[in-house]
Amino acid sequence: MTERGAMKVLYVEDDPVAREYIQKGLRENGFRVDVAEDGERGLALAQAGGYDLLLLDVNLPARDGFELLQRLRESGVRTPALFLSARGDVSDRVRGLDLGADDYLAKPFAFAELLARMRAVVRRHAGDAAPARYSVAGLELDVRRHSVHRDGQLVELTPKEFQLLEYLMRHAGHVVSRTMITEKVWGHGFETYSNLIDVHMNHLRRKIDRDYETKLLHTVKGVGYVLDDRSAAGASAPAEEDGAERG
Amino acid sequence: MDSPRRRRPLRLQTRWTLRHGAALLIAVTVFGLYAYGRIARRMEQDAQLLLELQVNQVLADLDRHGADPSALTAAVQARAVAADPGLKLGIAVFTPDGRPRAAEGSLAKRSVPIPAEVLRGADPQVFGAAHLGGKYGWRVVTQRSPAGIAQVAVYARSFERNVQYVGRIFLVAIPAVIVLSGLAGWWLARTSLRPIAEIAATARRISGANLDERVPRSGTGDELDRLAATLNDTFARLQHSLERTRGFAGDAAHELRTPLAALRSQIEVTLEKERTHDEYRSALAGVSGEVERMALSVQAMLRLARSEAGLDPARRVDVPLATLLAEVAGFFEPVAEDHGVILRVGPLPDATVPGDPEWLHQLFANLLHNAIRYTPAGGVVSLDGEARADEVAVHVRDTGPGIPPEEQDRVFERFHRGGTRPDRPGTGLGLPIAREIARAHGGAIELASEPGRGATFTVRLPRSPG
Repeated sequence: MTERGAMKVLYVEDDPVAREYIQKGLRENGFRVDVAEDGERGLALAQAGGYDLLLLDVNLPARDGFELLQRLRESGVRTPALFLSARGDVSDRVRGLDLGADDYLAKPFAFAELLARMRAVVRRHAGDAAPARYSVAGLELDVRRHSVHRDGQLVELTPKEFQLLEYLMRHAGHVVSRTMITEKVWGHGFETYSNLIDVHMNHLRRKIDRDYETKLLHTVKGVGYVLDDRSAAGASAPAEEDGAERG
Repeated sequence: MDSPRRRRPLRLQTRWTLRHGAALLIAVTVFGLYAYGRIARRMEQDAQLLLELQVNQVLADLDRHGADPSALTAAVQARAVAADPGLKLGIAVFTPDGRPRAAEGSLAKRSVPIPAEVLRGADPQVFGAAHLGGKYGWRVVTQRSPAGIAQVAVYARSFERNVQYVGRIFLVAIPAVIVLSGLAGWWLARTSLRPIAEIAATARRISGANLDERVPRSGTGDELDRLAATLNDTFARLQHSLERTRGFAGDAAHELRTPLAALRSQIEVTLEKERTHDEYRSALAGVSGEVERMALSVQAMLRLARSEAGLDPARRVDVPLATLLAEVAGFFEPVAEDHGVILRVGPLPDATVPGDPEWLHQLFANLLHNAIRYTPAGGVVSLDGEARADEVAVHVRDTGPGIPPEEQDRVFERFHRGGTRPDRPGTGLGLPIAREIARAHGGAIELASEPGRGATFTVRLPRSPG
């Protein structure tokens, strides 16, 4: 996926300060960004097409984000969409996802969190079906057999740790935030405790990394985690950590 | 000044009075007409009885003395004289073909023609009315026997007068009764409606500013008293919720003020003079951390506000509690381990609870997190519970320092932080949220604790029926 430099995003937001800084942040991270201040203009731009991703505020003048997406889906445009909203209630989230949004991020969010989620949405749309086996460096995970090996040695994991590792390996090389992990592995009931994800990560790290020279599970400060073989000097990983250090 | 608003109870009162009066008018009139009719009929029957008695005696005289005209006349005369003078009895005797043989009393001066049916023999006895002078009517009977025809007439004064008298009584009494009971009805309506008017007036006075006022209660336990009690309950709940809201807004503002002040000085001091790149960077990092903490606070406040607003019944599903508790315990197991605390999961209630799984997760997560945070290393936190007849009890026990009695109520207050432990930062909303969630599910949280001997939080939730 050529996400750097090529990914084109439409950002619909009525708050000028948020618009300016998010736009700036996205551009600095290699996205091409168009902005719209209200739902009417946002819909027109989105219908014209050509975007890889839509970032939609919910409370918008002229036409709210929910309505915008509904119209867009009705007219057959399937561009992936991510809602940004101060309305973080479960029912709003459910409504947004029901309308065909790919993710829903409550304000205020960390910028790195937004980046991680945007990339995850685009990856999901690129259509890589979940494989039955994952492999990163010497770490292998077999979904069907429910087994994990590191350098050929069996690693015993609890069911939750297995789910956690599977999620990280599916997004190997890409940062996933603590709240993304909480949502996907534990569900929304635990969102308040996403800061405790570190505890679970440390336990997982002890099992898959502690006794091995090459560390695979890396903390991205202020955001979350990435599973990655850094000794192989992947192109994207250092850049992501670089971005995170600011936070 | 408030006449348009006062008119409604008065109209109701008038309506009640009018309806009551109309119903009474119909009832009393029907009764009067019926009673009058019965009395009049009864008087008529009495007159007929009297006439029948007399005419039969005259016919007996006719049988006895038919052959002797003078004896017949004497007998008839004696009978007329013997009768009550007020009756003005008249007697006439005729031959079977209708020729007069003797006449006495009132029928001596004036005669009443023999009805054709009697004369023809078609009907042996005919009653009739006649006018033989005087203010009142006369009643006449004409009866035939083989010996001849006898006729008796009486003046109906005493009968008719009685009937008229009863009629007059009714004509006066019925309107009087209606007027009196109308007044009584009006008075009754007024006294019954007065408490309603008072309740309305009080309710009108009560506003956001003086929600502490209450509707006066009669204390009789009747419908109006119960209405007043219901309204007072509603006012109390409104007052409670309004005070909470006001308190919450104040507390929240105060809670955000402290980190805002810190942020402000951090930013202003940084901007005061030129700084190195690293200094800017570290200042911004500090700001970012502070903002993140504020975001967490705001999130918790929103959650509290939502749980205080109550649970949407549409979001209630049957939640299997044992599964949910095991999940929450699973999440906190590594957390407890890192704290050096043993998390012991005992028997869990095998029952479902109608509720919102998200909220219930939050409830038990908050309690477990709280217990783990306040239990020193080496301690034990245990989670267990049991299903009872119509509720489920879940206990979260810890071996922490316990909570002194004077603080036990306050741990559920917003922004109260147990002890002053800067090493254990929290939003100060975990337990208030837990309690509001329990309440929103129709349950409650109880706290039992002795200083030095740990604390037990018991959540009681209603079970799903069936």
